[in-house]
Amino acid sequence: MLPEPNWDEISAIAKRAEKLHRAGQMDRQTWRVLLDEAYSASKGNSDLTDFLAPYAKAEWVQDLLEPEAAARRKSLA
Amino acid sequence: MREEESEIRKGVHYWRLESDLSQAKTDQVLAVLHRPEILDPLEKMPLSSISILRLRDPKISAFYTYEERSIALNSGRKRGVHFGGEFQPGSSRNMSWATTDGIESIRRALLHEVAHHFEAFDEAASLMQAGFASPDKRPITRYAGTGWREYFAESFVAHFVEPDALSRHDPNGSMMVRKVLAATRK
Repeated sequence: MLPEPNWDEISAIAKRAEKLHRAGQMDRQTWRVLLDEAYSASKGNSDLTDFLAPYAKAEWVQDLLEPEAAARRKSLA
Repeated sequence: MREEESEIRKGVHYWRLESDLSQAKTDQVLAVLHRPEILDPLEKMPLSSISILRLRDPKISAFYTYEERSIALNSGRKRGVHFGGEFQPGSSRNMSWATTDGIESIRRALLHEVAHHFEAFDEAASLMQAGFASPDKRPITRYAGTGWREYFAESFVAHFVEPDALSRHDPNGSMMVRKVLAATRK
């Protein structure tokens, strides 16, 4: 069983994301860093990173949402 | 209402479906949406796609892409990681965690992401924000306490899978969900 997520950290990341978004400072790189931090705070439960979805452009998450099978096909091509 | 009218349909409630689960399991997952109060809003604003596939990146397992109005769910959910916990109102991690059944976890994740889709309906976001701002709120899960969007999405899941527990533990959240569902059907 995974350890309990760091809830304070998840809430802090959510507040930071909202602040950056409102300030017009969210870009792909910033968003990816926040996702890494959120995943780390979730202790591996990636259902707990979807709070970052409102701040992502579709093109930023395209590769993250790629199915494993498609990625495998690409690597074999 | 006739039975076929309360089932999710391609071209009416969503445009594209991809799944690497068996047909029976895919149907079982989608059946969680077979409620008029969910299907009526989806008919007004269909999802562009629902993908239930084994995703390659471990950092995302359930995601609503706001620009595309699409939902992606990782079908490769792991016990002890994405599900396997007990449901304890107010202290469980999240609703899709609080089940010992992997398919039920995907069903709950789908409900959670559909809740995010509902944010775009008139009045819905303001009702959700008001619900979260209420001093009476008692988030049904720990994740529900992280912001207004997750407060609504987790309460929405609980409204359908643990309605008595939601109305007992968090009457404010239960009322918020009812108000949003009424607003999305206007």
